[in-house]
Amino acid sequence: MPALETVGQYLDEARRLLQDEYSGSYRYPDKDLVEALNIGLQEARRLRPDLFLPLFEVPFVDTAGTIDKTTAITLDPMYRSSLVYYIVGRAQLRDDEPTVDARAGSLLQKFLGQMLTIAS
Amino acid sequence: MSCASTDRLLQSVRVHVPGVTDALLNLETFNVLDEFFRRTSAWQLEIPIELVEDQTEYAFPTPINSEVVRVIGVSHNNIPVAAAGSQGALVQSSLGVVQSELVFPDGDVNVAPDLSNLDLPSGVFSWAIYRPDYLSISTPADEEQRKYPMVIGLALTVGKSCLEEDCEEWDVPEWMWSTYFQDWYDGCLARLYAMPAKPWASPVHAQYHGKRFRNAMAYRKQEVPRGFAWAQPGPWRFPRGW
Repeated sequence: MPALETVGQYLDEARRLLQDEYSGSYRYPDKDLVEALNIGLQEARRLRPDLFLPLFEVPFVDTAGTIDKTTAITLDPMYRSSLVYYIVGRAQLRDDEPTVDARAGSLLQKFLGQMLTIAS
Repeated sequence: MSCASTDRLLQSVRVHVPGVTDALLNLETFNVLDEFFRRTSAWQLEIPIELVEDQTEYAFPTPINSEVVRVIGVSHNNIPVAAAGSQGALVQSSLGVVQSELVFPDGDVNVAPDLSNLDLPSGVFSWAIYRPDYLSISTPADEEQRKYPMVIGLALTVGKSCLEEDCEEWDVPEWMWSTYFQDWYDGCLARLYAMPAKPWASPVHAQYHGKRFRNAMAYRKQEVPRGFAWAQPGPWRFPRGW
């Protein structure tokens, strides 16, 4: 199980849930997923500023050019899986099949729930 | 497995506040201790200072990661020395402490020491605080007075530099972590439960623990000057039977 410490580990885990693990023929490019990761971190900053103590620096991964998958994402381990749900949910928002839409919605809701409630 | 003096507090809070991060817990522990020490003067320290010929201003050092809340008193040769204001001289505060609004950001203060009449008719020097961490005496100590150190009693609190370290590293006296455990525990829980939109937010619990924390501070504030001796009178209570 990835420790979810680097960009690459977040991408691997997101692709596992997206069933998009065959490199060379990815349905979701790295750039899209990393942008979802960046947006998810901003959402986390809005919902839970305490996760970014003491300096409130939100990690940002540059998507211009080659993505450095070894970049560390500093976030408390308790909330890392929430970020994976956000990446997967946001990625699936672009699909327009009704079943995937519902799944995307529930994943984004799970991210929100884990940020704000205990039982989620 | 190590066992730091802070473990009991941190572990208890972590269990009761699921999802709290260590950074937030460290910050709120700092806030609780700071409020507690400022309110109760429970962290006290005496610093002896050697009197020097022709010198009227003395810097007093404080422990690392601590700040002075107030000067409790000054003594010389075991005799309390009066604060200048308490005997009618012109100072900025009757406690000998400069009010914060008179302190400039660079540490200087907006007073005119030359206009302050610190000379007392008794011939014994008096003291005042014109700027943080410096104590002024009215007249330079004479040869007889220089035989004994002047002792400053200070009330301290945790300094802002603590926020750069985990609370295990703070220089708070170790016995306090167990003696004041329940008080600080209630304070931490009250602050954390009162936060909006957090997984652990609970206004009801915040109110309960907040009340316990305030009551504890009121008790400690009266207990501190009396010491922990059983025979000493306890805190003032409203007379019963009225």
